[in-house]
Amino acid sequence: MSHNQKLNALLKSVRGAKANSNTQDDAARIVTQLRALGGPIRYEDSGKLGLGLFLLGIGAYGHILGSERGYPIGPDGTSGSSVLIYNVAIALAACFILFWFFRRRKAQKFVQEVYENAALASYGLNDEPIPKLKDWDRNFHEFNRGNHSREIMYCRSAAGRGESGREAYSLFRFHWVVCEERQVTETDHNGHSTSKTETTYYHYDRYGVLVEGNFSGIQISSDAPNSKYKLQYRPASVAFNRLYKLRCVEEMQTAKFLKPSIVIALEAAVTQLKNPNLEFGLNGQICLTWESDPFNVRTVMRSKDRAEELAKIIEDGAKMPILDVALELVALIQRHTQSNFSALNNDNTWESNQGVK
Amino acid sequence: MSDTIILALIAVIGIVVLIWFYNQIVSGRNAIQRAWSDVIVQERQKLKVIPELERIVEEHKAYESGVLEKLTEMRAAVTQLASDTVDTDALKTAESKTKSALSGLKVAMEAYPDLKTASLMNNLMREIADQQDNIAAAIRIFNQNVELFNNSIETFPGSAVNKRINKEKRQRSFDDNEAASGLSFRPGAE
Repeated sequence: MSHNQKLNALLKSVRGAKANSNTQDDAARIVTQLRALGGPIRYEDSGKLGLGLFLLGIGAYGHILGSERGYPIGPDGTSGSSVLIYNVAIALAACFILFWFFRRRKAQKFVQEVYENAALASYGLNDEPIPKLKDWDRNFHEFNRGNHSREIMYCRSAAGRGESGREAYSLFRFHWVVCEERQVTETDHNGHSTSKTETTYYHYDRYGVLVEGNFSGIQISSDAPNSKYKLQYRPASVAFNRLYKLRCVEEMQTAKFLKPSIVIALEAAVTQLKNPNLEFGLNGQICLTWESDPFNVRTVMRSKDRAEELAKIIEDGAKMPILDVALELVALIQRHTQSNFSALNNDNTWESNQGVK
Repeated sequence: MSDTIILALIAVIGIVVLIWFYNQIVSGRNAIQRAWSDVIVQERQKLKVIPELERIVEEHKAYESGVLEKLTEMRAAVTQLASDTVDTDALKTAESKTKSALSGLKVAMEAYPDLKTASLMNNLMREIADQQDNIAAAIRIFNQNVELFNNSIETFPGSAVNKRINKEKRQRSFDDNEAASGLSFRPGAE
């Protein structure tokens, strides 16, 4: 069986299994299959690509020579047949190159799918019904973006894990479109100018997690639309104030929340999460968003075609470094905003008397 | 005429730049003062926990271990910290007294099993650990602000403005690495 046949069989088998379930057992089976492939996750199409480039060269060279010195005369006494030959060469070249290109994309897409499914299984993420943006808008400013369309692309939830101290959370992808119109004036060769409206659509995505929190009405943003909260608050850190803008409903509450540990953690998060925003919604939930895709296989793999590397990543639990940083930050915030004495049912007067937290 | 306008423009730009650097140095100095106050605020949070620790140590008869004296020394060192004067030596003393008291408490917890199982004691220890985290972070913020301030008065043209107008001196950062590195959040760390 050739490498391409093996790869095709692997794709078929993994995609067939995906439709049924998405568990740790599947991940183990994929690891075995990837190792059995014995080569890169890439079709061996370099011969076809080479042939395509060769034909493209012939076609292009023929046309260039023909346009400069005249096309060779064929048996029918015209240059039509030689033009046809060059065009056929270019058309064949396009077919070979496109074939190579689409198969390359197919293999890369497969790697992305395998990683994404393994990550979903590893983090226990399950698809949830997509929530209405209106509900989220009521509590957060984060989604007040775009002038054309806004959409939650997916919302996946994970249950809390007692042993690791990780609480339940929802991971989502928010997509919005900004539409810009501008007037363009064109003048034709007769000097008549016509103006028309050109519309450009800019697509943007942000990824984020939603978890339960203990504060409300605080928005800390490194990249966000204008906040509706009127009060500004600046902690003591000059570095933090350069990175973030903070707006809130109540200064006292914000001062209580923004402990030095949280300030430092947010400063450090900028190096790992692209343009992070943290918001305590009016319903008390924490919404942490950032720009980079946590499911992107590029965050863990240098090259997308190394089967052994992919197998090792899946075997090690398909870690999502971006999501891990976000969850770690959220966990730290929760730890520093929860009382250490709330579990003491018999002695809960102590906390209020002493004023600790 | 045009030369006069150009000269006037240059003079105006020069004055604006001068004012900007002057204000930067002043706000940098104030940022250090505020960061220092934050460190002291965090240090003083310990004062809320100490009486409860003393009570629980006495209740469990763990005072023989000398931990009460250590707690008293810690309280005295923290009380001596002043928020209006940056005194890194006093802070160092308070931090070393805290470490000594904490290690005394840990030893006492090992020696007195009742103390170790008391849920309030465990919660208090967790509270102190959180406080220490916040002190370490506050110190780090203080040091960041000191660095930015020192850069602003030692690099050109801030150095020239400072020499002629502000006349501020280089500030000392807090160099207790152990205290400043006690943070639990490190991005990308396993």
